Amino acid sequence: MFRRTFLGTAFLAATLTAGALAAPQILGGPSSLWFTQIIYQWFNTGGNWAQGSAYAIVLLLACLVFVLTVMKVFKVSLGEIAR
Amino acid sequence: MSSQGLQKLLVSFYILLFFLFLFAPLFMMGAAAFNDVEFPQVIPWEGFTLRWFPALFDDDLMIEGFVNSIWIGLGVVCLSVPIGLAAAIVMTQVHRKLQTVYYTVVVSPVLMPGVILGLSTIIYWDRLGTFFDAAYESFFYSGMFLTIIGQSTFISAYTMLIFLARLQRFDRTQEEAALDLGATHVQVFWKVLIPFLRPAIFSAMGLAFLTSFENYNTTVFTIQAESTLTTVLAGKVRMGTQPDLAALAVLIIAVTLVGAVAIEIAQRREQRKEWAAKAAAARAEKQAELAGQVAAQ
Repeated sequence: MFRRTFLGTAFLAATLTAGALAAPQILGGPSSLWFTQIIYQWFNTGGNWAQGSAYAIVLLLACLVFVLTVMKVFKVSLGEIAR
Repeated sequence: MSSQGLQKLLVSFYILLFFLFLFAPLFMMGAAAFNDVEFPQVIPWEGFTLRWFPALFDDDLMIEGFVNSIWIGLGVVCLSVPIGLAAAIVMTQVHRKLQTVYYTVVVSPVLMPGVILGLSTIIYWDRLGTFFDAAYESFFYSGMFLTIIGQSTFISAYTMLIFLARLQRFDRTQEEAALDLGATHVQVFWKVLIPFLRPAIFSAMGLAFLTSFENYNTTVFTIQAESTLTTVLAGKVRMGTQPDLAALAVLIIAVTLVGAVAIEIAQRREQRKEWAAKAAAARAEKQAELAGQVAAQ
């Protein structure tokens, strides 16, 4: 029971981190960009929405695959993760 | 030293480290807000000053962003609390087999990166605006409107979770009793369900407003030409930090602390009232019982 809660929380932390934008933007340097920052650049400074959307889809799929894989491997349901 | 004493010592050391990790940056920043230097720093200490606080109110961009943030927060509350409530009620109505699927669908925005929610919102409304040949001033391209919509997509999921937690303790027989006694479904909703959910509604409103207020990932895409407090702050930080940011942080922390303490006090007062009422009821019941026994004899 505890193991499942622990996994669920670990998971939420991972997906939240993958989607973060403010922290890397403020704390990170200009030499190494996070994936979300690349998307941001395509949309705002790059002005190429199509390219940015492609990157966003990759991020979305990566998160989705990650969530589904962990759910399958550790046999937890989404209800236990999000609660 | 005994092993137990050592253990206690280690645990307290860990707790100390944990709180340092949490609060040391806050204290450092709080101190920097009162230091009389152009750059936020504590050492060397150049003297105590309050000048960073008035400087905050001279910053028109910041004020504008702050006002926008409040309006957006109110909009999100108006939109996401009813949606979350409806979603939670539907959850109690759907068939057991469908519940897992339904729950997965409605809760997925919580796990979705905010960046993606923001992007999909602007792309969708931009396409829609193009399709209807809307003017550039119309709401299809309005940053405030899009931000309210975009934030509500995942904040409604949060509010739904609050309502679901409260609804789990709801006794359905109350509804049935009301219906039996001739109430209409609308009356049951307003006179039975809503009063029961009242605390949940207030906490959902608070959570929705605060989540909207501090959101950056979604807002930065949907806000476009306009600004909120978070986007103004991010822009300022990129230009280099100044002590007025620390002053703002001190103000926000102060407001949060005062709010939290006020809510705690109000809740305790409520709780005490409830306990008093319960004790009175128990006393009355006991007296009635005694009276009944006397009468039986």
